Amino acid sequence: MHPRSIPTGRRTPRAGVHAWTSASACALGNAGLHTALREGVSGLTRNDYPDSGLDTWIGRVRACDNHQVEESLQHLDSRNNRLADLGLGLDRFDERVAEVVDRLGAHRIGLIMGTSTASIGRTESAYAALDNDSFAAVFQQPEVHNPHSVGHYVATRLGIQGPSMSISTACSSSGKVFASAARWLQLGLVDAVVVGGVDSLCLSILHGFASLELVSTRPCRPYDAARDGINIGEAAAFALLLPEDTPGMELELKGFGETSDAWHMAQPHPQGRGARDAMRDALRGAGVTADDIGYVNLHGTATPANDATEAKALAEVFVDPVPASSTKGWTGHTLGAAGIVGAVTALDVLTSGHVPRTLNLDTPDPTLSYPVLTASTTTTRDHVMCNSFGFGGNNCSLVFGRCT
Amino acid sequence: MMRLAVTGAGAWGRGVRCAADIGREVAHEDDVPVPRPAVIPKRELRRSPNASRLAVEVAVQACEAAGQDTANIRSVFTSSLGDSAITDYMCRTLAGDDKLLSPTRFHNSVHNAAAGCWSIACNNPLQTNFVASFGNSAGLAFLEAMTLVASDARPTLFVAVDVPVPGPLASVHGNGTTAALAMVIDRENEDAAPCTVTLDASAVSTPEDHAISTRTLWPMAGAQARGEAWHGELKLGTRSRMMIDLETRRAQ
Repeated sequence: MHPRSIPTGRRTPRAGVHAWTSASACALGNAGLHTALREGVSGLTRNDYPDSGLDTWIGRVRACDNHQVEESLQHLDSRNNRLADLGLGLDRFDERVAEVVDRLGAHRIGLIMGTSTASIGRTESAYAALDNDSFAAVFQQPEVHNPHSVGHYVATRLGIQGPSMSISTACSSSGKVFASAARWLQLGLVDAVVVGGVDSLCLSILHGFASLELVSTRPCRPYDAARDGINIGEAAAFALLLPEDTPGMELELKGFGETSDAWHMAQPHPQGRGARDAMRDALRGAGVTADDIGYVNLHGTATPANDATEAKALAEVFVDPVPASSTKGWTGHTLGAAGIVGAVTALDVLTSGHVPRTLNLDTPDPTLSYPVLTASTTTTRDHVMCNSFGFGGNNCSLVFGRCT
Repeated sequence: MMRLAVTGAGAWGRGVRCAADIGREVAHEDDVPVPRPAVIPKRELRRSPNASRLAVEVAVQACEAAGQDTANIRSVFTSSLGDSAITDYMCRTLAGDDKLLSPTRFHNSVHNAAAGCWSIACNNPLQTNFVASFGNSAGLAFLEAMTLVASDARPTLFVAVDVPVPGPLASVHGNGTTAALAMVIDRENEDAAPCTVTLDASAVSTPEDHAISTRTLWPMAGAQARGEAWHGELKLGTRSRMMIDLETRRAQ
């Protein structure tokens, strides 16, 4: 490691985006995601998650149901780690990482995963099959029953030997992985960082959100006058980040904002204060103005409170509205994976110019203070933003752009 | 190599009510009392999980020791296993026929619950984070706090809390114990003992008692509070090690 002393007044860390992929209910891989967004094909289906018995819709990754982790990693088996494994194999992502590992050395690669559920679904299964109030032999998996479960799995699977951690700030978890990775790279702690977000369907989440009366019995309708709650989704998404000055980079993380509402554990600040400040900080860090943004991928969960407060925050930041949509109608709300699922969607907009509409938005809520897209459009601007907000009042906004 | 300063510490655990008690525990306690931090309003205290009360208590202690405004400091929280009491409650309930969860306990099941409680109690709008790395959690959270300080030279609060592991989870992780500590990390300055952090590619082992990673930095908080020197090595990854050298406080 190169010796460095702590500098003062450095500019916002940036990071080149070398590769990315995602697995969600609507698509496996980047080409599939682009087609689904363009053609308006949703991945939401009526809830059939085993033993849940709730009248709602979910974003279930069907390909995960029969996916297996490889034989040597069976001791780390869980639905969440299977989903991570499925995602790593898409768009040659694992091979792209292997190339960088070979070139830079495994100890020079870091890993930061965002997750809120980790492998809690596996812990639920262990509790449903207790043996004398102890976990049965098959569930004796210390590396699985903890918040870093997916981080440990992905680091092991990819052979990453540098610093490895998970971020768990509820639904902003995998937005914040980009900010932390950019700081690691700026400081030279590592020469590349694999970031990701993985959350999977489980009873804790389905019944937890049901207890808060926040799940809809219909496909979710973000920003609609009749919106009445979320659909829980699952997803795995990854990006490989390199230092900003790496030759050949086309896209980069340019800015980010991380704030707290300091208001309520489970309700957003009524004026969207924390969301507004996160977006402003991200723009400032990127050195751009609101008019430079060609698309905002919204948190847009379709709860009455989220969409109302996010709209207030948007109206303050984007006085002249820019194209913005929620893509939760394709994937459901993927919770701890939502930040990077939104980021991957925003990267698709940057590379294709196609701006997705808000699926299931039939009657825009006239009381909301920001006009979101009801029809798809195009953009040629060089910057996009994505928002993720979580319980505990934890907010993250990211700005990506073309390298200049 | 990076040079920084640790300007204040707080702690709570068996026989420990402040960081200076670490290493000088006067009596062994079987049950650690749960603190009642004054910044949490009484009506909220009852609804706040023990892990959040512990986190806020040690965070306030560290800020007071550092002379730091609790409403104006960023924070990084960690825990090896999270709030095992809530995990146990959720999984027990969901294993039954009646899967009705308490909405309050559900929203406190997020791993950043203590961070949210802290920001609300102190009306602090700056960023909070929760990071975890199993038995290496305390080391990664310290690294994360340090990188924040390095990115813009402003102070950052590090908070680590581990709580006892109840019920069936203990068959996997052991029983754990209550251990909470906090440190305010700042850039190097003349008023504080220098602290040098070095990373290299050496392989070191994860602490055997992985449920209490807070213990890996426990003696450092005690040394900081008393102005003593401390050296420690922490695992960050399979081949990634962090060495921390805290020097003796300079004579005033």
